[in-house]
Parts: sequence; C-alpha cells; structure tokens
Amino acid sequence: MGSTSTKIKLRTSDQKVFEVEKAVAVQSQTIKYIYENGCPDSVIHVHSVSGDILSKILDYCKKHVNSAAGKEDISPEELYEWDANFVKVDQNTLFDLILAANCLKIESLLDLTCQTVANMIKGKRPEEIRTTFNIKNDYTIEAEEAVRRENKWAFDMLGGVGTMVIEELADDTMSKCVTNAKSRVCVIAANQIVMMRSISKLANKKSIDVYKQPQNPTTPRIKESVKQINVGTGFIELFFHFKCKM
Amino acid sequence: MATLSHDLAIEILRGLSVKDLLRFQCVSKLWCSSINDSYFIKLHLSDSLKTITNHSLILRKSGYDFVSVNVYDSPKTTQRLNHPLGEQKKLLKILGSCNGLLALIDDDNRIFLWNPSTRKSQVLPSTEIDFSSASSFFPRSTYYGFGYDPISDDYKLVRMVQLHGNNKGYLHSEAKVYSLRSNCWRRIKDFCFYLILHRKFGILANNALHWMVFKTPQSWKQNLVGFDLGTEEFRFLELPDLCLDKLFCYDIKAMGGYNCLTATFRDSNDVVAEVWIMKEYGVKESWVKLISWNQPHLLSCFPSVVVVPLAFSKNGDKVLFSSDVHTFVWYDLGSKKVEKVGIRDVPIIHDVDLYVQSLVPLNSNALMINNEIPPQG
Repeated sequence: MGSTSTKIKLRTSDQKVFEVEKAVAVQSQTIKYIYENGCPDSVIHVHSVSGDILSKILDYCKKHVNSAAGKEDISPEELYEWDANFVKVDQNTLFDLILAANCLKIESLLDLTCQTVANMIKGKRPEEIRTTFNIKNDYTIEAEEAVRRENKWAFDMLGGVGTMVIEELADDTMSKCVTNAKSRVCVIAANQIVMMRSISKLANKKSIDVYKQPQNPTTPRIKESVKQINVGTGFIELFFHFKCKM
Repeated sequence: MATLSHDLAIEILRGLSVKDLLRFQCVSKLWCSSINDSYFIKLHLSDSLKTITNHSLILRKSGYDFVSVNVYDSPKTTQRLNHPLGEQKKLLKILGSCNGLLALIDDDNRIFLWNPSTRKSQVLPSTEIDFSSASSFFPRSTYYGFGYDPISDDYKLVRMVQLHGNNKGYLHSEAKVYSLRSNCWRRIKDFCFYLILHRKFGILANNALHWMVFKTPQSWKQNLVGFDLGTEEFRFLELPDLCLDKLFCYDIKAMGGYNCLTATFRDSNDVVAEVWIMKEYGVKESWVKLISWNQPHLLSCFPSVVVVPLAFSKNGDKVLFSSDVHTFVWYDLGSKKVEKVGIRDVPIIHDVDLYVQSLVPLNSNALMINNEIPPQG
C-alpha cells in the first residue's frame, strides 16, 4: 500500500463514480482524512458535490499535483494562466466550486475561486452585491442612509451598471481605472471626464479617446487618449495620461 | 442558484480593497458587523502584509499634500490623498506608519493619527513635560516613535524628551507612552541615554521602535537602542562592525520587517552605499551585508545626498531606493542592476514612508468629524 498508483473511488451526490489516483484525491484534506481513518478499499461518498463539479475539481487537483511533482513541464506563469482559465466559468459554477472546495478542504482552490469572485464584485454597488449573493437587505431606510453618509466618498462616482470609477485624479499623472462593467462603460470623474464605449470595442482597441468636460460649458471638450487597455477576468484596466491641467 | 454561506462570503471579502469594504457595509447588517469585526480587520491586514498587496509609498509633497504612489504594480500610479485636516492645510510631517495608520506631527508638536484609506483621523491629547522650572529656556531633544503592540493589541506612540543643560550634562529625561485604546498618555521609566538631535522619529521593526542615541554625553559613536512596545523597556542592540575608514555617515531603517543599517563610504574617487540587515533580532553576528552599491555618479552631488532604502519588492529580489529628492530606483540584488522607477509627476519629496491600506480603526471617542477636534474631557 502507499504506492503512487493506488486509486481511490469517489461517489458524488448524483451517483457518479470517479476513480482517481490517491495523490490527486488527497489534495482534498477531507478525502485524505477519510481515507486515512476509514476503510481504504470502499468508495468515499462526497455527498455535497455533483459529478460535473467533482470532475472539474479533479482536473484542478491533477494539474497541480503533476506540476508540483514535476511530471508536467509547466512554469509557474503557465500554471497561473491555467488557473485563470480554469475559473472562467459562469457564476453558478463558480459558486458551486467554492462550496465544493470548502467542503473538500482544498485550500488553494478555495483561495483561487474566492479571489475570482472578489475581482468580480470590485467597484459594485450594494444592490448588485445583494443580488449576486442572494442577501436580503435588513436595514431600515434611515439606517442604511446613515451608513452611506458616513462613507459618502466611497460611493462617489458610482453611476449605473457599467460605470468606471476614476479616483482622485491628479492632472499630469498616469491613472489606473478598474471596472467590472459588462457591456457599456461610462466614465465619470472628479474633473468631469465622460466617455461611453462598449466593452467589446474597447478590448480590440489600442487606444481610445476620452473627453474631458470642462467646468465652463462654453469651452470645447478636450480630448485625451487612453494609452493602454487590459481586459482581465471580470475587469478592465484603462491607463490614462492626462497632459494638460483642467 | 447556489448560495454561499456567510463564512464563505467573508473569505471573498478578504480579497477586497478598503473602499469596496466600506461601501459593502450597506449590503446588510450582518455584512456591516463582519466588516467592522476586529478579527476580520486583522485578517484583511495580515493578508495584505503577507502578499504585499495594497501597499504603496506615501509621500509628503512640498506644500501640504500627501500623495500615494503604488510602486509595486505596473505602470506606477499616483493618487492624491485627501489631507487629514481637510481644508485647514497644515504642514504635517510623517512621524510613523504602522498597519495603515499614520502618525503625523505639526510644527506646534500636535500629533494626529490618520488612516488615509478609511479617511478617519484623530488628534492626540496634548501632554506636558513634567519639569517644573521654565523648561522652555533649555534646548531640548524630542524623539518620537509609533507602532503596534501585539501583546496588548494596541497602537502606541512614544515620546522621549531630554532637556540639555551646560557642559554636555542633561537636566531632565522623560519618556511617555500614548495608548490608542485608552486615548491617554502615561509616563514610563526614565531612559538613560543621550539624545543629540533636536527631533527624530523611531524606526519600527520586530514590534520595537529604534533610534540612534549616545550612551554617554562624551560618546563619539552612536548606539542603537530599541524600545519594546510590549514590555515598554529599552535595550541596546549591537551594530555590525563597520570599516571606519572612509565612513561618511550611517543610519538605521526598517525593511521587510528587519532592522536595517545604511552606511555610506566616501573618498575622493568613490561613493559606496552599503545596506546591512539584522536577520536575527538582537544578535550581532546575524547582521548581513545585503548590498554594496558603488555610485560614483553621486560624487559630484552635494555631500549630504545619500540613497535611502525603502522596501523589498514583492518577491524579495529587489530593493527600492529613493535617490535624491524625487527619484526612485529598484536595485536588483542578483544582477546588481539599477532600474529607475518611472513615476510621472513625482513631486519634490520631503517625507516618504511605506503604507498599507487597512481598515484599522482609530479611537471612536476621539475621531475628528468634519476635521473638527472633538471637545476634550
């Protein structure tokens, strides 16, 4: 016993059976504990995980075990890329992965999936968070207002869905803006820059134009250029350089 | 649709910025209390410290403004910060930076604590120097330090005052400690070393504050003294034996949690900057020379220009230096190559410190609301 080709059988909530190498399965601390303390020959039931999700999880574990053991020639950067692609799934699947990683106690997968969701919700408004997490708002109107007022500045410049927030711009600096907009980006800022573009168009462009709305409405709008665009998982980064003072 | 438990929601919240978390207090009462929970705040902070995320340099510009510069990401970004005193612009110097809280001091020796991420600030109650005679006539040295004591889970500010008499004697030495939890000062045991400069700010490393002082009034060599924030005791720490030949100046700093010594050696042909790290706290033999950097180009500069090490890179392979008044460079420890940090609009810098964004709260009884100091007492 204990050879690397030992296999463990896992049965999911929907009665699918997976046979996996022990080294892969024990990436899950839960499975490891059951295997080491229970009867190693019978099947381990993973009641709360479905076949589809377990299949994905086993892919993850296998990739990481192989890379750590040197069985696969993959650099840390390539593994990072692989992980980034692994989490490009719909929200339901992502949440299922989190629940499964938590119950199977696979720490690195839990960290990865939680950080992915964190990146998704950056910059969002509380209403959107409640929808995403299925949370009931238990504040009274007055109480919620009070909390908002205390941190008013954290809500500044949050517009509708798809608003990009430019924070605290100083002129003549390179500024980074992050948005998790899905379809259209509306950019507003302290010094009144306004821009509307669709994300799909943004992704293909090397530079885009941003129009500064001057304080004095009779002054013509000033055009600036966005120098760099990065489209990430659930967010877009735009790098601006403002050449002139408002 | 799968619903995540609250514990899993907290796991997700750990990865968010302070601004997002402040806003998400509105999601529900449970989220609000979780975000303000001191355990969560510590978890969020320790994540940031461990992975060196949410870290930036904070610079005090000429004038009154503070600017935060993120040197860890590419490209580097600068962000103007709301001045802690709002519209009442005042010249504030950075006294210390710890876990997202900055201690600032003005020309009247009023001290403020400021969390730039939560935008909360408070002023410290003033405290007299316990010396009866007309103490204002005597020249004095006042040394400060700010740090966190994990034993009492408290932020403390230390003030040491020494009044100088004639003939290199001294008239009075006192040390006081301010505790954030209690929002008051208390006097501690007098110290018995000598402060020479008018004012100095302590270096925080290993849960202790450090200054260079003299053991006796007649000393010509400076010694490193450490103040343990937990036990509130002073102890001397040995420095490495530096080659005194051509030694121009040396000073202490902290980097990556270690005590660090910078020494500049000059002669007519060379300027060499050395950086030493104390790997094991309090052990003289554990001082290791990390960098020996030859910079002949500084020969022609005004003699007091030295390079100051600020921080390690995320994976520890480079050290960030500030070189003259508005340049930053990354020094690669392996290749010994120097890479200038391209930050646009870096102003003339007067103060620079490292700071991490955190939710660490101030004393709720002492908070400044609308930049007004609450009534004392």
